[in-house]
Amino acid sequence: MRVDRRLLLLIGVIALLALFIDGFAYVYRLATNQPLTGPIRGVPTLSIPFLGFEQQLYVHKGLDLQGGTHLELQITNVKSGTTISNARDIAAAILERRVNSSGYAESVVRPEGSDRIIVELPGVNLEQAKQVLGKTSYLTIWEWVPGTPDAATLAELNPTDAKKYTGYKPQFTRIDGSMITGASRSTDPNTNLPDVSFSLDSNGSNLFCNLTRDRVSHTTGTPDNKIAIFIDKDLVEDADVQSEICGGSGIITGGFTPASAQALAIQLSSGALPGTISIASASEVGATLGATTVKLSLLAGAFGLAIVILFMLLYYRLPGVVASLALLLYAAIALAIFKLFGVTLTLAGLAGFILSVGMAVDANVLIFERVKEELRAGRTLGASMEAGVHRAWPAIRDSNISTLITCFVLYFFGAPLIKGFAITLAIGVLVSMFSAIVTTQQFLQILAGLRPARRLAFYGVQAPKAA
Amino acid sequence: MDIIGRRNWYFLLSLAIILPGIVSMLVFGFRLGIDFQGGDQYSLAFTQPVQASAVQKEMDTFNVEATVQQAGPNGVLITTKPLGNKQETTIRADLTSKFPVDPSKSSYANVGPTIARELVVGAGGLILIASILIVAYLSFRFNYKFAVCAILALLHDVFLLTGVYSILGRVFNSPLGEINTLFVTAALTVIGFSVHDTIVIFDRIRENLRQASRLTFEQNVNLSIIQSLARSVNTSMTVIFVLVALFLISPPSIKGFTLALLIGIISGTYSSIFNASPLLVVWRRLDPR
Repeated sequence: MRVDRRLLLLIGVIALLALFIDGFAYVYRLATNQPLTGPIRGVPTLSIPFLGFEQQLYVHKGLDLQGGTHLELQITNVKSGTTISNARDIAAAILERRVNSSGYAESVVRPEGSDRIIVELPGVNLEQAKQVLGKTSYLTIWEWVPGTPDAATLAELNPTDAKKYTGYKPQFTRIDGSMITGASRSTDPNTNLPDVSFSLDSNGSNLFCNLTRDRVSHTTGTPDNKIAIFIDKDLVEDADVQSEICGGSGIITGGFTPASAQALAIQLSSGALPGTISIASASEVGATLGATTVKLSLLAGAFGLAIVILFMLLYYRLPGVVASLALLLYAAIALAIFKLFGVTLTLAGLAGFILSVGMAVDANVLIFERVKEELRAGRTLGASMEAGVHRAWPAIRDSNISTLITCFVLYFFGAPLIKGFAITLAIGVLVSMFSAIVTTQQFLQILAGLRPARRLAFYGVQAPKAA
Repeated sequence: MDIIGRRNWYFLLSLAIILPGIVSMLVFGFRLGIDFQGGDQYSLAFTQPVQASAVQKEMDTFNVEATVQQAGPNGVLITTKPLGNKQETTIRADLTSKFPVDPSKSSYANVGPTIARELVVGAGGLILIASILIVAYLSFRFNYKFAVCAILALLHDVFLLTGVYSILGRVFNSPLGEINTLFVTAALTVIGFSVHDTIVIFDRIRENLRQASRLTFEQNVNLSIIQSLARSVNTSMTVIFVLVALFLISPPSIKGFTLALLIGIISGTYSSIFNASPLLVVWRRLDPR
C-alpha cells in the first residue's frame, strides 16, 4: 500500500478542526480582548447556522469537578386524583421556578425515572440548596375592608401592596394555600382568553362561598368588591368578584397571557406541592476540592502521557515517534469531541479518558510488534508495515468491540456517574481505533518512503542474517 | 519458555489469591459504601491538624453509629447511618462550630435506603449483561470454547478483585476497600480490559491454527502466548504506569477507585496469559474434538 493522499488530507483536516475547536476559547479571548488565563467573560459559542448547530465550546465540568450540590428528590404521598408522573412534573416545574428565582447559574432541574427529580446546583452548598428548595410559596386570600393597615399586617405583607387603596386595609379571610387542592390553566369559553381555575377543599369551599357572597353585594370595581391573593408577601391578584362562588371551585380571570396564567396556576398549587418531597440522596462538593481534583487529574494525565511517550520512544525508536504524534493527535481529537458535543466531564469520566489512552497505546503496540516480526522475517520496510497493520487489525477490532460492548451496557443501564465514565471511554476507544488504523498506518507509510528512515536499527530490530 | 506445561502451578497461584478472598467474602462480607447501604458521609477538611478520635468523641454524643477515620493530617471521613434532614443540619452546625472546618475543601453525600437497594441490584445486573453480550460476540468471532475461557478469565479477575477488597475493607478495615459505585465502575473497566487482553492472545492462536503446521495444539497455544508476550507486557506496563501515577496523586475520595483499577488490570494481564489460554488446552484434552 502506498501513502494515500486522500487519507492524509483527511487526517490533516481533522487535526486542524480539532485544534481549532480546542483553541476556540483562546481565539475568542483574543477576539474579545480578554486575558488568556482566568475565567472567560461570556461563554464562547460556535454556531454554524446552516447546519442548525450551536454549541458552547468549553469543557462542561460535572459537579464533582466544579463544586456544588447534587440532589435526587423523591415524591411520595401523591394527592389522590394525580398520577405520580404528573405530580413529578408539577413538582419539578415548581422547584425549577424556585431555583431560577434564586438566581443560581447553570442549575439543572429535571424529572428522572417515575418518581424522582434531579436538582444540580453548581457552587451552592447543601444548606443553601435546602433553603431554596424547601421554600414553600405560601398563598393567602385577603379581603379589603375600610380602615388603615396595622403594624402586624404591614410586617406580614408588602407595605406598598397593603396600602394599595387609601382608606382600606387587607383583612385575612382564613383561606390559605393549604386549602387549595388543585389549580390549572384554563380558557374562558366566552372570551377565549386564558384564565386560571382552582379547587378548594370543603373547609376552604365554605369560607370562599361566604366571602364571595359578601363581596358580590358591593358595587363592582370598588375595593369592597375585590379579593386579594397574596403569595408570600406579594399581591399577585386583585380580582373583582362577579358572582358568588360555591361548590369548591373558582376561576380567576383578568388580563392573563397563557404564560402568566400557567405561572399563577403553578403558584397556586405550589402553596402545597402535589405530594411529599424527600431527599433520596444528596452530595455536596466544596469548590476548592473540585478544582484540586481537576488539577490532580490533569497532572496524572500529563504525567501518564509523558511516561507512555518516553517508553514508546525508547522501546520502539522511530515508530515510537510516530506513535507519540498519533497519540497527541488522539488526545486533541478526543478533547475536541468532548467540547463539541458538550460531554459533561466528571471524575469517573476523566478516569475513563485516561484509561482510553492506555487502549490507544495498545493498538500502536500491537501494530509495532507485528511490524518487528515481519522485519525479522526479512521483509522490506514497506511490506512489513503494511502486513503489520493488516495482521494486527483483527485483534484491535475484536478487543475494542468488546470494550465498546461494556461501554454500551454501562451507558444504557448505569447510574449517572457510570454513564459519564462509559461515554468518555467509548469516545476514547473509537478515536483510538481511528488513530491507530488511519493515522499511525499513514505515518508509517510515509516513513517507509523516506530513504534515511530505512535503517533497521531505527526500528529496534537486528538485520536478519543471510539465510 | 513453557507456560502451558506449568499451567497447574499458575492455576494454583491464582487459587492461592482467590480462595482467601472468597472465604473473606463469605465470612466477613464487604465494607459497603453509603451508596450501597444508605447513610451519610462527610469528608471534612480542616485548616489545621485534627485527630479523628476527637471527632469520633464528638460524633458519639449524637448516637448515630458514626465511624470516623483519619484522611491525612488535616482531614477525616465520617460515615453514619442515614440521618434525617434536621439531624444532618444539627450535626454539621455542631462540627463546624467545634472544629476548624474548611467548607470549600470538604464534601458531603447522603444516600437514602431505597436508592441503595436499586444500585445493588443494578450493579450485579450490569456485570451479568456485559458478560453475556461479550460471550455472544466472542462465540461469533471465535467459537464458544474461546468465549467460555475468556469469561472464566474474566470471572477470575472479578473474584480476585472483590476478594481482595473484602479482605482490605473488612480484615484490614481500610477505607480503601469500600465497595461503592466507583468500585463497580472499576470492576466493569477491568472486565473490559481483561477480555481485551485475552482476545489479543486468542487472535494469535486463531491465526496460528489456520496456518497448517506440525505443532500440536498445546505447542501452538504456547507459541502464541510467547509471540504476544512482548505486547501484553508492554501494554499492561504503560497502563499500569498511568494508574500508579493516578493512584499516588488521587484524593482520598477516589484512591479506592484507582487502586481497584490497578489490582484488576494486573490480574487481567496475569489471567489472560496464565489462565485463559491454558484453560483452552485443558478443555481440549478433556474434549478433543
